[in-house]
Amino acid sequence: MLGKIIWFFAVILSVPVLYIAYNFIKSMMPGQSKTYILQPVYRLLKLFEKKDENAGFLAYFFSIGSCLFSLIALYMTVAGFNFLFVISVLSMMDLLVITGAFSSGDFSGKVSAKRGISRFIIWLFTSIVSAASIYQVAGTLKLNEISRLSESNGLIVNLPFTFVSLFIILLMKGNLMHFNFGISGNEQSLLGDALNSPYSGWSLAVIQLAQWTETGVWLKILSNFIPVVKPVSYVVVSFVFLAFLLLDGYISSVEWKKAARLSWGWAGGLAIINFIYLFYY
Amino acid sequence: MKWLNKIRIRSISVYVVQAGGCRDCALQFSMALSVNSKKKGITVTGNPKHADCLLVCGCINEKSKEKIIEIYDKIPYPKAVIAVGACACSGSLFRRENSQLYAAEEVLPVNSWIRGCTPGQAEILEAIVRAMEMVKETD
Repeated sequence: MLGKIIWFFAVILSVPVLYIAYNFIKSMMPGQSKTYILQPVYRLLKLFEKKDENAGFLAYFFSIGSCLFSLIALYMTVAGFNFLFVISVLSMMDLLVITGAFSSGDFSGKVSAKRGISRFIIWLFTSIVSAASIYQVAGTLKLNEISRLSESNGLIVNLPFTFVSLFIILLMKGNLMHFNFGISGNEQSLLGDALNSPYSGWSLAVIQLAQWTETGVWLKILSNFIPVVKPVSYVVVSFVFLAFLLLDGYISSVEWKKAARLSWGWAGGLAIINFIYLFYY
Repeated sequence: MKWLNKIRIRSISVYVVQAGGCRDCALQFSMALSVNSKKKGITVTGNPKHADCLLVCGCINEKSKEKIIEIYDKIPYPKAVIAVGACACSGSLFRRENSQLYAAEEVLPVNSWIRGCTPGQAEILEAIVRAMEMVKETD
């Protein structure tokens, strides 16, 4: 039990540390705006004291609800629950964010909800196909069993495309590279993208926390496939994610419909290829 | 709550409105961010809901006036408005009797004015930080 609690808090703290590292490295690069080392944390704390007169009860309800679901998903992940249970809790979280965006009545909220639904369908489809592939190889969907089998048998040998497609879900959730749907509170870039989000102030801060927690969940899920001990595999996956965060600065963003097409092709496509390979060959 | 005010000044999200004109003020601001290393923590955002500060550049005309007010209303409190350049401050040489152009203070409650065509890069960043400091006092 103690191990699970330590993992829970370690994952929660690791994602802000990743963003702080990203922010620090990026601000050292030529031509970038200069920021404080703890800028992502400052931004989060600042948001808590901002007051939005237009935000109603629903904005707070949906943001707190999504944050709670993300924390539940994180606990289930570190405790080694069934992969599909974690996916179902994460989908509840995503649906709350989307519903909150749509119910805001704000134009940017509706745009955000539309893009959110598109992203939701893609990552849910990819996750379900990936789950089928994982079950075919491991014979179980329990994350602690998958982790144990990875260490002993190297599951990733049979699930290379599944791993990549799950990593692309992480990129989609982080609004990175060609999988950037232009949604919500990631505001690290110098020239802001068209960030469409109805949340602001306090509710945006809670959504930001939920997103960080969700990123931690996906990092932990992905780390189960690396055939080394748990802490090392988590650090490896985190460093790869940090590399992609930095690489994002050099990749031009695309229009969100193209991002959706690319996400279908890469995340969904690779998951299906791995699935077909496992079942027919 | 001194520490909270300090945090607010260390993370300022700016929404830039190009109301009209030559766009040089907005360009100066972008260059200031990449060149100036003394003022830290200022970032640009594309969503008024995430912004702390509204930077108005160029002449405000009848068409852009409504949009600017709409954007201003979406920014959560505490917020600051800064008029950048001669066009936003007074209409500059484009302002005539019936030109239907507005100075920024005729449309919004402006916290800070940066005059000049074009204003210096360091002045723009300085004004943003000062304006946010003033906002905390008035709130």
